[in-house]
Amino acid sequence: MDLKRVGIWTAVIGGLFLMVYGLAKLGAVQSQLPTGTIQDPVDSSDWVKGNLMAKNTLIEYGDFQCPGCASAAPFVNALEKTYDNQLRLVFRHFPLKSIHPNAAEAAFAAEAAGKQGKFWEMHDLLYANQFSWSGLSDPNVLFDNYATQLKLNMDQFINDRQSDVVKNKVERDSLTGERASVAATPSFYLNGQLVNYASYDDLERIIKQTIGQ
Amino acid sequence: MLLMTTLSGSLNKPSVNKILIFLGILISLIGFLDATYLTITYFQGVLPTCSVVHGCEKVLLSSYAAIFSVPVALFGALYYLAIFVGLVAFLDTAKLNILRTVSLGTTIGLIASGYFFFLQLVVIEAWCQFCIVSLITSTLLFVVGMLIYRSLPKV
Repeated sequence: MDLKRVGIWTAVIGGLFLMVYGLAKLGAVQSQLPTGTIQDPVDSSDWVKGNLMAKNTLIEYGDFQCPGCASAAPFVNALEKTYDNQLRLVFRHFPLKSIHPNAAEAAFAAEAAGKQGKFWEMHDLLYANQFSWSGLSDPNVLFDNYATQLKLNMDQFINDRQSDVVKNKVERDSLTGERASVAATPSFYLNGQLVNYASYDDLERIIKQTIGQ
Repeated sequence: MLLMTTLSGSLNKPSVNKILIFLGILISLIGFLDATYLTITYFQGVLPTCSVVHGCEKVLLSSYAAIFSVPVALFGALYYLAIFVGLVAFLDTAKLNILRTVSLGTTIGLIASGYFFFLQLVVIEAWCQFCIVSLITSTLLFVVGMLIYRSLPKV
């Protein structure tokens, strides 16, 4: 093959490679997360698990219809087991209604289950079955099903998930998230500070480091 | 230069407007970089998150943005790359069959972009500027492709 042709094709392929590399660098810079601080301390209305008296608190802002939150759920449950005595885990609702039409209803269902002491059980069921209810026009049929599985009082559950008290609680969580500059779900705040992490291993390393201090 | 020499050297072959070819290369390159950027940002989200921001994020986080976890932007990038390489290959070899295939192939991009335009307008109800760039480049590529095709001798 003549050298000139090889040179031209090498230049074309090399040029394309350099441009893709440049775009990758640009994308990495833009994907960095912003900073944020919790403005509303944990109180009695929050859902808490782990050691309630622990010095370290991890607050998660989550949306039950967000696939990222569903994939984070097993990680958070594992954290509870690993750092049982050293970590207080808090969940706050941050339904992204504009992209997830069923997220708010799911949050209401979790809150209603919480009224009967089964918030975390409903939380786990909603994430585990996210794929089943995400696309439904009326997801409450399935939520009622989950409530039955959890042996909840159905009349109370249905009343609660439609109640203003429950809706106001979800709204309150969202407002605390806005004040903490939540930009995406899931967002994790360790001892009040937004955690920027590249992987769950990375997040666990940061938690471990903070706990060890 | 080599490419032009090759073209002008093939005396027996009908002339093809070189401006159209270079225009096609330029447009497909823009489309390729646009789609590649979207693909990269899709894969760079090491952990999947759902963003608060509207517009582009709403489109890119919708269920239409990926097919079996493969972002549609990747298909777009491969499409533009194929057009780009095809046009450069024609300049290199002066084979009209390559040009015929590439110019007809621009129809695929137009149809795909039309579908995504419809999704953004009617279904998702949000606009992503990167997708708009792709709509423009694929439409222009189609126009260039058809002009090239018309100038080719009938088989």
